[in-house]
Amino acid sequence: MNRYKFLVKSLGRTRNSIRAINERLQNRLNHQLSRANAHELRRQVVEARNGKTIVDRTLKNKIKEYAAGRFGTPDYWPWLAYYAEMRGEFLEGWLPIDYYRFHLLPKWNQLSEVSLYKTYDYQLFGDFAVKPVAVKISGQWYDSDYEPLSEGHLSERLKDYGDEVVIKTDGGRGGHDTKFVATHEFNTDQLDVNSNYVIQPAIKQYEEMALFSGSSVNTIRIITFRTDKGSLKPVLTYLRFGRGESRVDNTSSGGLYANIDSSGYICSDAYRGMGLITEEKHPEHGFVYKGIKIPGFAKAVESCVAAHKRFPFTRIIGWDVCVEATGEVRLLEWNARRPLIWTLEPLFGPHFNGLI
Amino acid sequence: MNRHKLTRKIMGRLKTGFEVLNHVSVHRLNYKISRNEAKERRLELIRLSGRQHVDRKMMARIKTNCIKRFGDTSYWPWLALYTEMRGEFFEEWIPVDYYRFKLLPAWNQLSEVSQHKSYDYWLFGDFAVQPVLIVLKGEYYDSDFQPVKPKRVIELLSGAGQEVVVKADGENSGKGTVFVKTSQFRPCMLDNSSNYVVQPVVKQHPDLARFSENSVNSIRITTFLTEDNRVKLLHANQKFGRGTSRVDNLGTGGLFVRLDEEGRVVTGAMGDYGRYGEESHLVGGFQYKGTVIPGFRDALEKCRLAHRSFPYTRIVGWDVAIDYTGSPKLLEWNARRPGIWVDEALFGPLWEKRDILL
Repeated sequence: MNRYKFLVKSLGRTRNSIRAINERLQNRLNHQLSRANAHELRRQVVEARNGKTIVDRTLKNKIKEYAAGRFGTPDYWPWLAYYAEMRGEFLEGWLPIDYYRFHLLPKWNQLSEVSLYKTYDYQLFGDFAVKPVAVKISGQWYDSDYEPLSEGHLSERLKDYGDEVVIKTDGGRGGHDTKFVATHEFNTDQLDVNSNYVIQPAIKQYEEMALFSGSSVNTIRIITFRTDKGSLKPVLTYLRFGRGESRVDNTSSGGLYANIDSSGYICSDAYRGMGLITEEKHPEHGFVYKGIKIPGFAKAVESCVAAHKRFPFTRIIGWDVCVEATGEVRLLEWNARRPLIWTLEPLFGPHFNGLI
Repeated sequence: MNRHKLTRKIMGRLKTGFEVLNHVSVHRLNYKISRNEAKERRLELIRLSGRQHVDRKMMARIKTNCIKRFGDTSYWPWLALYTEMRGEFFEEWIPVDYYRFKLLPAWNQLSEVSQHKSYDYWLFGDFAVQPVLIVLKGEYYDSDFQPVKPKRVIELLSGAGQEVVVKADGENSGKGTVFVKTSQFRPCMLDNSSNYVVQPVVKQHPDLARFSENSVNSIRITTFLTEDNRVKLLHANQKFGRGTSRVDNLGTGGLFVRLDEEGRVVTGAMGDYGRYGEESHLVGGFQYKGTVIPGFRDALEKCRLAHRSFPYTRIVGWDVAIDYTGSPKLLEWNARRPGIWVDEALFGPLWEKRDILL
């Protein structure tokens, strides 16, 4: 073997070892970080309840025993303990976030980064997604069918879309990187040259949905899951709505959420943040949340299941769907990378009991 | 700050620190490995050909050019290899290490998609081979991603002729591709943690079977999305197997000829490093040069359209077979790391200056 061949081989081995060591370290640190988050959240719950805790030594041992039996190690106890603290009791069947994120998701979801590319949604899901006014990919502008578009044509097109458009960035999540721009003020120079963007018409939502908040487009979050037998089913369904002047409905932007049952009726109070603050009635309109029927719910579930069938590389997907003024349901965003379950699992779960 | 918040902060910093360390060291090693690979190939080529074009003076010229273009002499090894292959030096060449570690990450987004052959038919429709079955981690689907029950698996296979091709996701250049008699296909042959696409065997055009009847001989078309948004043909080769090989890749002893934009062969047959220069076919006796590849223009048009439908990657390598009806069929596409070095060395520079501005 000549010198260079030897070097290629040995450097290759060194690189693979570094990668393997880093992967192990990251995996460990991810678990530790996630568990530290769970501890901190549990502390906040206890603090909010004036130091009252239900996870005493006996319950902690019970949870650890359960985690060892169910997930192979007692180390998965922190999230279960947080869930128990939130709910006021411990329920078997709950899925700890560290197990979900670092053990299940990498096995379940392949090609999940595709969901970060909002510029690709219309190609993937057709009219279930919002038809873009234009998309910018790798520095080039295109129409909704990926036909090249000059900047002059883009300005012309924008005039046909009313006063306002929505600009979303690929890779942006949770309403961040979503901008509402007056069409006459739109200027491509304001956009980062290295990012991809989708420009969408502003959504006019269904009247009843606007009652929850007139400022934000309120969405139905549906998490669909493919079971071991291959069938697709919605495992979590809930309503999200903004508060005050907020244009987005995300929890991180002060939004609220309420559970929806399989028939499309709200079956809980509305929650804020991690779920410690609840409200029974809408503060402005005075209606009680529980019992309200969500328009277009059945159609939304059906459309999400159909869309999941078109992308079978991921077993679990979170869909954000709105109901337009016409009653049509429309996909605003989907998340196959890390569909969020941690706020909902303790409040309304276990959602995956018997499925994993 | 409480204990948990402090733990989170420390862990977070450690995580970022290790990530950066890993990124920097792997990045450096990637360059070193690539450059040593170039040096090794150059030595081998000199040994095989018995000639050396890069003397001290030429090396100095290459290094000066590296500083001028890339700000660093260390990019010389691939350029020196190109010079040995071509017999002369071209200043506008792009070395492989610059292409792979500087240009490709900036050019190609979402390139992982091309590793999923099981998705090709959905993405490109009838330009791709319609799968008999798609297997995703042990679950069976038909070509429309509808779940398929075991009984239907047998029915679908029996309708696919005597033999099928099973291709694994994540593998390129013929690796992970096996030919299986339909009567002998068993689900237990497949790894439940991988994805596969099961395709009918492409019956190739008789004109292409003349190159080698044992392998499906494919055209490699590399397209590039230019700054002014044109899909440009970067280069096209007709690849073919040799002897009893079922695949046409250079790594398995295959050969290639270069094609012009009309699909006309413009060189003799070449192997590794563009050597051999066989003028006429060993068995068929026909002259390579001047032979027109059937269906080429259609294939090129379909590659252009396919590239338009996936504008996330600026450079894509397409392997296309021409079936017995003359219709082009996409066998695989590579947006992750389309191989360019042989063509860049022998027929390049392939890019215009403005294409490679970052």
